[in-house]
Amino acid sequence: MTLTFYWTDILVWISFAVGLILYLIKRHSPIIQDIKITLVQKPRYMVALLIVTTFTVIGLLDSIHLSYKSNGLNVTRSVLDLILSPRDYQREKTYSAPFALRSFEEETTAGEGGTTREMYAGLKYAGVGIEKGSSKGIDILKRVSLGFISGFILWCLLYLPFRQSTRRKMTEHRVIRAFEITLFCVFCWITLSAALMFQYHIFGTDKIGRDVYYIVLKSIRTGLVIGTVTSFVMLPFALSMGIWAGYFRGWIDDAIQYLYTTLGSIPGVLLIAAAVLSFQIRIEEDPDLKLLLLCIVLGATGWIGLCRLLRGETLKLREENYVQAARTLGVSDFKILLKHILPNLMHIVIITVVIDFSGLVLAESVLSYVGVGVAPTTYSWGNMINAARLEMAREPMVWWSLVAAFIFMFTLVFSTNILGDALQQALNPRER
Amino acid sequence: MWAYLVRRLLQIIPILIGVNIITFALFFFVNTPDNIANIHLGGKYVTQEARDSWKHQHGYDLPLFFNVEANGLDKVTQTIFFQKSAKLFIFEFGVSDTDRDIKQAIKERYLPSLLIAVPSFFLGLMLNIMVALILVFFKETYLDAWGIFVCVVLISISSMFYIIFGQFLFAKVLRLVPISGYADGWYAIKFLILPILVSLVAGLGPGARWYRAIFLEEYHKDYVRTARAKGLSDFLILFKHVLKNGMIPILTSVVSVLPLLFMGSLLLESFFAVPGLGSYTMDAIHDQDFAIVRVMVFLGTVLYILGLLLTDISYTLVDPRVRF
Repeated sequence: MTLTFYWTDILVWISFAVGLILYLIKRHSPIIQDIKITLVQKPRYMVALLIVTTFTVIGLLDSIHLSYKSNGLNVTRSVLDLILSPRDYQREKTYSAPFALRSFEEETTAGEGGTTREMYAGLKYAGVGIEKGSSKGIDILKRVSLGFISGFILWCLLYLPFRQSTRRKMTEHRVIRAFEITLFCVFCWITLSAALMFQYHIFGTDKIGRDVYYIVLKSIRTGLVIGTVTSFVMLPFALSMGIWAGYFRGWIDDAIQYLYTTLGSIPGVLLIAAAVLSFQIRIEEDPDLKLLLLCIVLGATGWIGLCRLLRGETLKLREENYVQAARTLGVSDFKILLKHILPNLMHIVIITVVIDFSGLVLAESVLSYVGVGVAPTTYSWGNMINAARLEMAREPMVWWSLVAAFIFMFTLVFSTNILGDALQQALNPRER
Repeated sequence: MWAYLVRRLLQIIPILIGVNIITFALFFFVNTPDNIANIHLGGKYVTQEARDSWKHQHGYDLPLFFNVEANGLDKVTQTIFFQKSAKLFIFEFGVSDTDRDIKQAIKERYLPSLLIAVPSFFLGLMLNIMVALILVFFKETYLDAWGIFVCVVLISISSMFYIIFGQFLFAKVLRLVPISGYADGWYAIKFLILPILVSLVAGLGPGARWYRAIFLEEYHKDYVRTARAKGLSDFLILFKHVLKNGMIPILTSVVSVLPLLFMGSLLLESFFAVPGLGSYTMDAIHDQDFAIVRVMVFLGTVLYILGLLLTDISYTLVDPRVRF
């Protein structure tokens, strides 16, 4: 058993670590305090925070890979794979409906007396030990109740000890109630999944018999990677170019403005498509590298918006009293940029990163459809939707893949948008 | 005004040259002509002669920037840069990598794109403004709060879901319109209803939210407060004064999109099988037809810059305080 880290794993963990360290260092600064105060003001902010945290944890669990030999083959699985096993390698024959015990398509099987019949075969990995009909309903009912009860127990065990201290941080009852209910829902979701997903295919199976619920959980990591690694790539460019253009002005400003006007004139999707097409010939067919390439291309084409904002803000900050005083006193430009300009730009950076996160997750699905997104073998919501297009045209229709992708993608994007609103409320002075 | 226009046009030229160089670098430095030949000839078992003849056929066998072997002016013109990239400036698009005339294809395909994009644009604009005004009229009530919430929900749904859901509901279940396709002439209308409808719904979320913010900002200005104090009805204030003044930022930002309508929506046209410029680009990306992608990138850029120019001009037209 060895720990293997893909390139995207490393970058995700670095981004997470950097974010955590920055938070721990700066947690008493006015910006973080403002954010905290705003976040506890409305129920929806706490709910969104919980949801995003849950998705982040799942994504991080999926970003630790272990390699070992099994039956002479090299196998690499992530921690999430191990938690969800054996669903990660089980394969039915083909499609099957959610919670079904039989396959969705008929198979020709040998019947009695050498004849062949068309029948719906039983699924290998669902409903083991259950005959069809009412006993399935009772079994599901039993498992659901078990799930809720254990979810409640989990909630009591993990949350009640900390109840006093968390309640003190949130002042309004609405917010506390929403937080506790959402926490209960999250725990129940975990326990219900554990109770149901190993006995049934909660969202059915796809064309090659993979459990759709497993695929949609694995896709969380892809969305997370695209959202964070892209920002990671984009920030150095945007920060340095924006600050240099705004602070030094003169020919540097002109050059940088020319650069981003030129780059920004090319329509986004086309530029990304052109870049991905041009570079992907160079790299081999490694899905992880293709994901990395997509993140780099998205970052290299997406720094322009943030750069403009930072340049504008730097131009204003430059004329502040303390900056002028520092320059008069002979403080080096580098120190001024580091100590005076940079901290005052952080609020724009935070808002933009969070808002861009949801935009990037949505963009990935579109790009996968166009064909310049992630590799076809990577688990992603974009690939699920892409496949769903053909599945919906079948008679009878296969809808479960699309619904699953929709639910999870919408939940993540919506929560991130709510958090973006919260941050704007906290960090951007609005007229009211 | 003309001096301003000429000045702006002159400023655009370095940008166009820059764009040309960037796309050229993307398409030719990163991806050598050998690679392109490989793709189009099938990949693995291609001999060097097949590659060379394909390159010669498509004009890729010339040096990149500077041809030392040629004479005189040919030193510069008999290069890939001049033949492929520079010629775009005079709208000489050449042939695609599958030997079809690009300019002809564009001429045939621009109309369906416009037929979807232009109605969506104008109808969408009117719808978003109406919804935004209604939300502002009911501001600080539950309707406004729920309206914003619904807008955020709409923004969080990927446009592909709108398309798929629209196709499922209106075409498959209700059977009101065909799922996809296109026909010439007046018969095209029944094929265009659903794409335009989907486009409207998908654009409602971001549009209504943004326009509401603009109108709200106008509403808090002094002249509105004065009008209300003098007894003018909220309704009249909103739909006459706030609308007029709020249209300035809206129109100027929206006008920049106008030229890009020509290019069509990549997603919409592909899902609805409309033979427009959007699906042309999509197919080219799928087939890795670099010639077409180059041309479309260039076109898109030119149109975008045209849009920026229009924005600047419209600023001066609607805001009497802005002069050159």
